[in-house]
Amino acid sequence: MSFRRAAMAAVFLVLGLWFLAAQAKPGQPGQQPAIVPGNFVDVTAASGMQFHHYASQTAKKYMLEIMGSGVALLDYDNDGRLDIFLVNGAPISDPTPLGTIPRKTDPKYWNRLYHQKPDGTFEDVTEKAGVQGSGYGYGVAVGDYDNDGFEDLFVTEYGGNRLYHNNGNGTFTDVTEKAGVAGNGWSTSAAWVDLDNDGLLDLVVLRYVQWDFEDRMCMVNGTLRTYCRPDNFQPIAPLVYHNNGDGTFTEVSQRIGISKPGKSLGIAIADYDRDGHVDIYVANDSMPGFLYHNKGNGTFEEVALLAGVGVTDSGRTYAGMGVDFADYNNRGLPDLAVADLALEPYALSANVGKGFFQYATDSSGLGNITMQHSGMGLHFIDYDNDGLEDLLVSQGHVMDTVDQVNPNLHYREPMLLARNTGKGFVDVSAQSGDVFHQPWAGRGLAVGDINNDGRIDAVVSTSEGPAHVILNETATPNHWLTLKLTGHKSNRDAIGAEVKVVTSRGAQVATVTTAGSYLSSSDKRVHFGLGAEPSVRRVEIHWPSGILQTLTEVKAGQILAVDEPR
Amino acid sequence: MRILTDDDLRQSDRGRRVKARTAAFAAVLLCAAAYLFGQAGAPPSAGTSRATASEPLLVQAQLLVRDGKLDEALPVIHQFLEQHPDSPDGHAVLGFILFKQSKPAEALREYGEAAKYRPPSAFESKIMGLSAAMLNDYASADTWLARSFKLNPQDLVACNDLGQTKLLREKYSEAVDVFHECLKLDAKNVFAQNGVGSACERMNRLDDAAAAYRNVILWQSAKTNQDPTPYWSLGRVLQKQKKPDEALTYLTRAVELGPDQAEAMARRFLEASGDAGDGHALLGFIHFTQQKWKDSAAEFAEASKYRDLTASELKMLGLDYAELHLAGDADQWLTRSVEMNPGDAKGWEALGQVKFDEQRFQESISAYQHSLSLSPRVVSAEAGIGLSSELLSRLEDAAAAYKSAIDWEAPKPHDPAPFLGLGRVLLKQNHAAEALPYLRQAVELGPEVAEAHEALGKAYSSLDQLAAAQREIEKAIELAPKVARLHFMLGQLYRKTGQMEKAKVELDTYAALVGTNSTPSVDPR
Repeated sequence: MSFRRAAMAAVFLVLGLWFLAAQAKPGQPGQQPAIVPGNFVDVTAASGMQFHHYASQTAKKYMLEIMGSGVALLDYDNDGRLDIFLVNGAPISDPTPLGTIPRKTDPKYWNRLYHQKPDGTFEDVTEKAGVQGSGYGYGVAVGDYDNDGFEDLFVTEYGGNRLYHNNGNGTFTDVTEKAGVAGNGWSTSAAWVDLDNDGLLDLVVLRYVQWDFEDRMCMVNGTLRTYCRPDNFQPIAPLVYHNNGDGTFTEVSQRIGISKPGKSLGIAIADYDRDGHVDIYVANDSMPGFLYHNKGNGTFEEVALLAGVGVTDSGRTYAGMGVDFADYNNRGLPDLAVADLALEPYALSANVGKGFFQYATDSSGLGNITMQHSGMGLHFIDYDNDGLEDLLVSQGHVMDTVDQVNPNLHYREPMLLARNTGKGFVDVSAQSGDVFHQPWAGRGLAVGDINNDGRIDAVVSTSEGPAHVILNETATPNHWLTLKLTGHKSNRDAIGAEVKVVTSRGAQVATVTTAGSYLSSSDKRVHFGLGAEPSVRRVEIHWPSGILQTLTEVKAGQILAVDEPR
Repeated sequence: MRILTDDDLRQSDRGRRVKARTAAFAAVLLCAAAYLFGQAGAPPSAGTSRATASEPLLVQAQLLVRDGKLDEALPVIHQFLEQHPDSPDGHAVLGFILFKQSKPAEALREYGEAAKYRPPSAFESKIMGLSAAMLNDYASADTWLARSFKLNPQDLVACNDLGQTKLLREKYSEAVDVFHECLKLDAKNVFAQNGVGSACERMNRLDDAAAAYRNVILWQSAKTNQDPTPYWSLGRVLQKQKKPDEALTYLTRAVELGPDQAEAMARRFLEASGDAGDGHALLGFIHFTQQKWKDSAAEFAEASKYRDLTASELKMLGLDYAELHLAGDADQWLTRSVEMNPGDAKGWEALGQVKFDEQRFQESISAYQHSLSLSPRVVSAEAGIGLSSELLSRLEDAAAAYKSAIDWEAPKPHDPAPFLGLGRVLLKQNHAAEALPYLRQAVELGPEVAEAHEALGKAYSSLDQLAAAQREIEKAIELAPKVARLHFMLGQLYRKTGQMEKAKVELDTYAALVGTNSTPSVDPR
């Protein structure tokens, strides 16, 4: 008997030791946490989507030619399937005279709208839709600004932006002039958000720098001409358009306090301080970022430095580009991630409550993972539906000669997939599909459930190259729930609504938005991975109108349409 | 009449002896006075003179000259010569006065007058020689100084002056002979030895020249205020002998001994030597020692038009560019330097630093490793490996390098860099508690290093020891007030501890300093 007991004890001991050994310590660089790979597949070739971005690079190395462009995932025709909109450039002559506004001269430079067909392939409907664009396109923001139930498109271009009203019949009308939202200068990312809670989506349009086609010689190592750094240029204030409700907009940046001159590339929204009003984060390039706190009275104050965001914990600035808010640690507060250039680890700021953030890049392991990489589009996604938000980043440098200057760095890079283990992040890219071995000059990144299978997919745009449709085919037994909200008192898209799902494991919180990432616009449906939970005990929706709606015992594995109570 | 007794006679003898002794003593005194005058610039009395030393005006003039009162002596001697126009002594004294008044032509005229009556003495010949030299009549100077030395072969000054004159007349072989005679009078005669060196150098007898200069250096080595000249000279000769590294050693010492003269010496060399390559390289070296990087680089570039630069010169040129933040150029020249001299550990280490500045971190590591293979256990090189590894995200490798460097310092740590590096890596790895002792050590070793206080502050902050963190960041700011980001860090600490007004002040300071630009990759000093 004693022998049997001893043998069992030994077995338990071994099992115990094995179990402990198997527990990695993620967030501890140098240790080897467990890898749970994804499976992402580039289906572009089969998708029918054939797009080439024309950057029009010149020997003069005009900055404009290296930074674009963006991509949107939207369901423009309300058939339940996500469609794709890709922004394109325009020809730039070498040299180009000062004051030139580049114009698209050929269909090859057109922005493109791809309609997803029932079989999952895509057809080019650009011409029919009338969304070809006219200038050097940069970013795109999707939002139903007139609450007619059809997603409209705002496209930023150098020298003047375009607003396309969705007519509901597969066509769009350029209503820029009537709306009064052309703007000027070099616009980049934009976000639709109801700033004053009047039920109408307003528009925040970021701009990059004060710039023109100056023949400015910028060198690296004294020998190689390269793209000039933003330090060489003056910042510029954003444009903020209040939706008047009649198809027109009024520029109100100064009046409402979203007016600090920046070098702005990325925008994300969330109610970071849980005061019931949606706030805005602006990622700036090589200067501190901005956090616009919504005071609830229609005005904003910029509080990034006080809140502890916008720079690293050592006060270093970084080249902020793609940005996203998400509650990655499930503490019920939206955290912030910003992609930047190589030798500047991507910035992860954990929301510690009361309006403050703690820089978590190093402690989460993200610093060591990203130090050698340059990130552009960035989005939190729960790729394996385990209930923890992971990070997907489109990568690529902005100096096309960086490989010559610094052998550790690369102009073209594969995407990055960083898995959230609950204790930090680990790089699972190499194990998550061939697509993560393909080096691109990655730029825009939009995420969404393209095939409605409960796994979040992505579309990536590249500079002077093709766009890629990437389906998430990660084999996982984990459950999921997607919510498609429709506002009635709130803006129809429900942008700004905060959704909380509660399971036996705990709670997750997300904000409804199409903004985030870099120059791009994502699926507005809010997705939750539920792990092993087959249902959700409770769904709480805090609508922008202030209405709190609660759903109980919601089954997993569905895309649930939820209307705001009237 | 009294008969003179022996006593009388003895007394008389005694008196006569006293008188003679007195006269002799007076003569001796006069001769001595005259000799002293000679050293101080006054002539001795002549051997054959029609006017005797007892001539009061002559004596008075001589005494005045001895005392340096030339203006007072002048009318006296003129008065004497009016009375005794054919007095060679008088003319000699006048000649000497005129010499001392830098009137060499008039001095020679007076000595010429004196010579009509008697041959010039050794001293007079010497003065005549020096007067002729002042008139750039080196041939005459040679003649008179040779006569002086022949008459008085113990006169070291005349000997040296004769040697110098031979040099000026470019009679180098004769100059060497003369200087050797001078060295027989004084075996450690620096002037003569320098003269030998100079003459041999001009005859391209470089080994002899080098030997001469080495002697001078040796003889003065015990002195506290050494003359940099022989170091210059030897450095110059060694350069000509194509011994650049040895030359550099002596030139470095010359600059140390006489930094103010350095540039002038180098320019003189450039003008005199006609060797533009060596001359410009020498100037490049001088500017390098003066930390005038741009000027130094320009001189080396100019030198390279005339000849190939040596490995040492290429290293200095590379370091010039490194200081000018032109890393690409620095890399190019340092690489060539170590290719020419692969055994130069310092060169490899410098290349490692430059590669780091270029963000070529792997190459930086290779260069540092090469340096260490030549000169092991150099803490700075190992710490360099650590830093490059950090930036390659190889934190384990970085930690290992810093730990090695710390071990190498172990008995007497002095360099805070590896402690700071290891602390920083541990912080990145989320091991703040482990980082703390290393960072404390870094601060102890480098209390004036702002970065050390900053990192220690970060560690304390991670451990929620906010008061200690605040103290460290405040100290960092005190040491480096221009580093904007420290104000951000302090602002955050004030905010966390509820000191909101102070937090706003610091954050506003940060914002004002940074403006709308990026924080510099290298903190301003």
